[in-house]
Amino acid sequence: MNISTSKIDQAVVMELAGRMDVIAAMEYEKAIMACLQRGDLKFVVDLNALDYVSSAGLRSLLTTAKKVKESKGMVNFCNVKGVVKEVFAMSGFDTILPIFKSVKDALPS
Amino acid sequence: MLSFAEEIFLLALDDKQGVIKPLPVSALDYALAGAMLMDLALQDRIDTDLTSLSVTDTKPTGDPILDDVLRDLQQNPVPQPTSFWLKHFADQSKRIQERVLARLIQKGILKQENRRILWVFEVRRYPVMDNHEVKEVKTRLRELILSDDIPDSREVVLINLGNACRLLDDLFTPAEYEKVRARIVALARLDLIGQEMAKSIREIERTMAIAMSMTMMA
Repeated sequence: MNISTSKIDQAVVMELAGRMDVIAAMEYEKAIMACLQRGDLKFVVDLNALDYVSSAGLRSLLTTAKKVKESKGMVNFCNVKGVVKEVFAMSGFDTILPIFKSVKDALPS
Repeated sequence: MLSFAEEIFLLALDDKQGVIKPLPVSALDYALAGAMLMDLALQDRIDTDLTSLSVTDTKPTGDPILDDVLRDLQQNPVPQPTSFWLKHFADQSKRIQERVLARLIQKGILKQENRRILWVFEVRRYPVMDNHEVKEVKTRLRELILSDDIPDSREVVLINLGNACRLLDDLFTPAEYEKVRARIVALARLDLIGQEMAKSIREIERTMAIAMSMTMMA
């Protein structure tokens, strides 16, 4: 999985591309934790190019969302498509995590 | 820290009587199988998706029960669905229950007593010696369910296991339970292994209900 990071205003926009398996899940957690340690608290995770997520991937999305929330931050997800959308719907992630249609919609106001 | 198999066993135990509470048919068998797989998943030894379960790291965990499961999972060269492995380990439930019980006794959480009832049946009871672990997990789950907090992975697994065995209603008054039922279902769905486990238990219950109704009609 490839993770590319940019910043729009105060928010870190993280684009995940490829397959989010157990190894990629650890990389994603590390990337979020590094941002939190730098003092970033607002995140938008763009899943437009993510075409697979395993249960380890789901767990890392949940774990990091909890850590960000506990740090008084926020993480919004957007552009959930295809198989990932199917897995989100099946596991109910779309009812627990804030999910938006686009990066623009997901940016904190 | 207790393993999920130990935690679900303690949740399923009637604290006062020291015996397993009445549970849906095969629920504890599948819950223990699911608990072991979920422990391995949280220790990054296995991963699952909507079609199959795969071993991602063969390094032993240091837990003899989990390491036996991990070895067993590596014996099958073709990836199998999670449901296949749940049935595989649920079929070994008696042996697994004995090992989990032995560990809880060894840790000083339970003690074993043999009593005779009416001089006929010998019933083995397992009174809880150290209630701290049980109370802690029950309080944690209750607070999480009543809040709108995001759960961590361990909490998701415990809610899933507790819900599949219908043990969570004990944590709430009937009025509270009505209010939180939807949240419990939403939280329990978050784990893919747990979902498969709950589905297996429901299917067995359905089959049993059909078989019973056919017997009554005959």
